[in-house]
Amino acid sequence: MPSRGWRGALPYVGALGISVLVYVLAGHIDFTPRPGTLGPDAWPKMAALLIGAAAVFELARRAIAGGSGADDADGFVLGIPDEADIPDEAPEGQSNTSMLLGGVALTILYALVLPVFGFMLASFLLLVIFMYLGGVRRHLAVWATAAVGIFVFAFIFLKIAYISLPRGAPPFSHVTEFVTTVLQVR
Amino acid sequence: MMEIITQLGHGFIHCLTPLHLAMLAIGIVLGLLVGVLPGLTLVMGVMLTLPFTYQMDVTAAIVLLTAMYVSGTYGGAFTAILYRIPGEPIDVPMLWDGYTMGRRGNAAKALGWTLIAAVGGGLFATVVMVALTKPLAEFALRFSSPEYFAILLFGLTSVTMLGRGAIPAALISLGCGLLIGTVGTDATYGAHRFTFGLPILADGIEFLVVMTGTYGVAEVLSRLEWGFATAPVEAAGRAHTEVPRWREILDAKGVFLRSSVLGTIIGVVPGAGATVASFVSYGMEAQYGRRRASMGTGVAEGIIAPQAAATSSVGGALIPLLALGVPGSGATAVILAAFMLHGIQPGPHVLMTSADMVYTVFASLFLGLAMMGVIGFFAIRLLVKILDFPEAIVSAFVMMLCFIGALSIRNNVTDLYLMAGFGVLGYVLERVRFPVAPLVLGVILGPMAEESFMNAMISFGNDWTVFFTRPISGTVMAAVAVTLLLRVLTARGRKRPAAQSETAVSRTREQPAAAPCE
Repeated sequence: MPSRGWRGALPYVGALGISVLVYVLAGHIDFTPRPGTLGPDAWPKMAALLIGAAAVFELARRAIAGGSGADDADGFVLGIPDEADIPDEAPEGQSNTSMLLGGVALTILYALVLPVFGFMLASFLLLVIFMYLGGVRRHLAVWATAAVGIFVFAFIFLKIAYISLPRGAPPFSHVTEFVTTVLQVR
Repeated sequence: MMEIITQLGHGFIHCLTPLHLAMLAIGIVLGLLVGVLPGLTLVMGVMLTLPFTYQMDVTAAIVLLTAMYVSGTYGGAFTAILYRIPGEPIDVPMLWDGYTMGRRGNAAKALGWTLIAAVGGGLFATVVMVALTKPLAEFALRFSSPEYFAILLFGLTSVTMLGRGAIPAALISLGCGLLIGTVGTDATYGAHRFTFGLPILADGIEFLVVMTGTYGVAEVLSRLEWGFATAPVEAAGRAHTEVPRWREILDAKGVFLRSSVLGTIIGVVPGAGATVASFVSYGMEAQYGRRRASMGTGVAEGIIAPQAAATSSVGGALIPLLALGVPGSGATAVILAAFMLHGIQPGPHVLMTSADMVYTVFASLFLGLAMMGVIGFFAIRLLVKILDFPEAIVSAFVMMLCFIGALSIRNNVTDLYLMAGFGVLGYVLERVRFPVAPLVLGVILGPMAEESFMNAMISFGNDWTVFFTRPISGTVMAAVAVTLLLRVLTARGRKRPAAQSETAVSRTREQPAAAPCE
């Protein structure tokens, strides 16, 4: 079997592992059983069994079919297009893993700094960094768009939609106070 | 029937208030813009608008979101016909005849056919929706937990069977969604499941966090990886719409009717939606239509079929949501969330308790379709101008809206971590060709299905046969079996001619697009 076929089987091996793990974890859910009633572990166990059965089926199919059928993907029924008919998610360009990792890191970083920086400053920085990461190099456009964007969002969410957004901790909370003062939000 | 017409009349009166008309207009324009922008899918668009509706009156919120849903099925046709850029997966079939007609110098006519198909298909489905929702809701009042479980199982099966990719991959994705839906405090025992001692997990994982992550963040991450593009818009200044003559429309009445009926039916089926409707309708016309031999060469039938079906699927998708409380697609799931955020649970009782609101939404769809036609006709140049914006800037704001959406549900930063995690999960699933839609609908429908299942088991003494012996649930379970069987048989028996496959591939490799469950 070619290595490509085995690589394609890896997600199913992972799914099988998850199903076993979840099944075991579900067995440790703490509850007092009631006679004649299924426990809170029943539904998660059924879901785990579904995942496990589907993974085992696919792994067995790949093992039997060998490399030839390893990457088969059943499409839609009733004339609905299959994988070949709907364009691939990935365009035919150059994959840039560092950009992807940068995006993931930025997402996690935003969540980390939000309580400290507050919504205004954290979001402003997110917008600026993201635009640079995305390849925009017109500096004035980047900074001005981010600043205007923050004011517009702050206006909509604080004055119209009344959504509570993190203010941040001092000294960064002064940025939030500045924006709310400008927008006359109390 | 007279009662329905009377209530619809009241709905029109309520809808003609300045607030509702403003929401309708905003929703139509936003939906068109979402359709035009390739980086922003219909579900994402509706989802990102949700936080703006938290403080609104529920009717205004639903009017806004449904207007976006309807016009989102239409906006992408502009860029597909003019620039060969399908703003949505729905619009991929539009490349085959719409763009071809445009290349032959008839872009205005192609846009005209799209307009008529969207408005015509949408109106047909809205009439069907108004006529069927109340009778279906009244019928659903007879349902007990076995019937609800059977319907939810049908929904879960359909999304798996009609989705993209291999069946095992779809089932695994669905299973993961069901598991995510179990996180939190169990409704029957009060037991904590998979909470790992984290207080926020005891309240469960909000499906909007899952949706924002798997659709919004994952899509932005994917686009970041492959690099952003700026679309050429040289032709925008010349773009206009030429409505076909009445005689030409009458000539095509068969395809209008077929596509609208098909789109409405597909919309009702959980998990199908506008993309499936668009492709199936085009496929039907290519196989059985009067001008099947000319399909793909720039004929009107190839434009009407996908567009009428896509827009009519919206009316179809709203029927199970309003009558049964079962969302069958990503966009209707967001609309369900909007209802629930305002303390309303859609289902058989909503037509009795909030009839004014429901009929106002119905009326808004009629008015919205008319408004969509007018805006689409006159504002096309302005709408396609949005492509001038660099995609990186649009994506940066999409990312920020995702954060706001996740944060505003419970005002807890943990939801941001969860959203980031689901974003990565959604990205990984797409990379390994596991469909995301079953996961999302598993998260949404899973808790409902579990509750119905557990109630049925408690009420009927753990008798599993109850799902098969009661007439309604038995019939639905038979439909589940047929769906499964059909998929297996079709997958085994399908031997597509190589030449046909190659043609399809060469047609669609022209522009990348995601295929979410809209």
